[in-house]
Amino acid sequence: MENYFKEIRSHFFDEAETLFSIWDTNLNFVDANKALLDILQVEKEQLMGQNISKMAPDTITSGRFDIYKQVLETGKTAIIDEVKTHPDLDIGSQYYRVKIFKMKYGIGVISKNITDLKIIINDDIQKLQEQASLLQYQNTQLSDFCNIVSHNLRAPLVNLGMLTDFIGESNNLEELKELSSRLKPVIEGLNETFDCLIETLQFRLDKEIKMDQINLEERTNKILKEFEPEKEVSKANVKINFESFPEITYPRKYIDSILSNLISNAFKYRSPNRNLELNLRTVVRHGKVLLVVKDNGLGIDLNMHHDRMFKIRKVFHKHPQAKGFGLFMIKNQIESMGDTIYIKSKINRGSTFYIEFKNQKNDTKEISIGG
Amino acid sequence: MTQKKLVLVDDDQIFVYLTAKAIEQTKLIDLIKIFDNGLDAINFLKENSGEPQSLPEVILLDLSMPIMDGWQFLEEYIFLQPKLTKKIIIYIVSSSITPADIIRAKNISEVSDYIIKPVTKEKLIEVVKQL
Repeated sequence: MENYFKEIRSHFFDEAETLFSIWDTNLNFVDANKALLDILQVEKEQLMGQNISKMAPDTITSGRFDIYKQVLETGKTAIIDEVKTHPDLDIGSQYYRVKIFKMKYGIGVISKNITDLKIIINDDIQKLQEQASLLQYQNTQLSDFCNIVSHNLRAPLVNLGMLTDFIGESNNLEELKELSSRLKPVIEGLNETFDCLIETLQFRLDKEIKMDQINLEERTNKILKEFEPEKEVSKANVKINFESFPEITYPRKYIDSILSNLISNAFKYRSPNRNLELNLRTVVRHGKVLLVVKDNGLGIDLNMHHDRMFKIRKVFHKHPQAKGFGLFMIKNQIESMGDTIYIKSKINRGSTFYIEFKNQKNDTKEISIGG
Repeated sequence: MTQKKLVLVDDDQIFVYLTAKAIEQTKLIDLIKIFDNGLDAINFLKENSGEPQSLPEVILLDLSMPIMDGWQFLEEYIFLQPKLTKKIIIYIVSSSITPADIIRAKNISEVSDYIIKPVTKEKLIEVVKQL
């Protein structure tokens, strides 16, 4: 009867998919099950009496050897996770949960492959991280919006209130005229901010916005035509090179708005001391497409203004036409497409804007155009 | 009696116009100096740090301004203050009702108070009467 039990137990030992191995008190090989021998692609006889440190040198470098010895000394079971790179690259790294326990004349090691589980968890973590960053982004959006309402809408309302108070208290005709004349610009400003806000809210809701196949050079040249007078005055030298990525899939009105705002800024904030050099190009880097717009203009102190660069109604130069809508608008357009815009700049050297497009495929023919 | 001077740092032309008008009417202030951004204001203080007769008794400071905003002005001011030959009272005067702004201002010891726009004539009189 005893033999019968031994037999079925050893049957389980050999049939199990979990890897079993047994080592003596010197950590020399005693036994292993079929699953482990299959993976190692050796016969049991070849391993007999071999020390674990010779069989698998990585046990020493990974510190596992010390854990084995500890289990031998203390008799306490240890559980560790380890990663093994599979020789077949297609299979990728394999994750094991390893249990090491003391036996009468040595230790037993059970390794369970947990790669599938690991992959599922990693996928879940990645999804969670994506959702967390989306939430964080929407939170920033909301707080930005609150700030806009708190300041950019409140400020003109306050002015209207104060103006009407003064008008109510005044009985001097000249003064009344003067006060009343100041109402209109406030209302106009309020209207502009309001329209800008409504428009940006629209970008957020424009989930089904029409995608267009856009030839960047064609659009840029078309927009540059509107700046002919500025081009002449500034003796601008405009260079365009979209060869590395000539066509992009994007809503045309967004591309027009991006190009026209960045070009307009380059003219507006050019240096009075040199002719404007404006450089527009595309770059493909790590599978992402970058639209790069570089000028040699006034530049901006990013240490001072970095957080405010793309906020509404923020201006950084003493320029009568600076209103603080342009960059705010295009950032909203770009982000509503899941893309990003950033700037590098040095005072008196110039600014470079980078727009990073994530969902552009190299073979533009593959892209199905919606709308 | 010494002349009383007030500096208004604000880019909002309507607010500046109305405030200056109201302050003039109080006849409690002899000179109002206006800057439309923090940088010009801080430069003025730097240039006149050793001349108490040129420095103002009080500064009304807006927060949202181009080039250098009110917060950045305050950062610079904290460094400059030991060199100033006159005690200056600073009021933040902002249209922002964001609690974060108000708390932030309360934590800056150089700021005497946070006044939310609109500023009534009564409030202005209260501010300048203390001088």
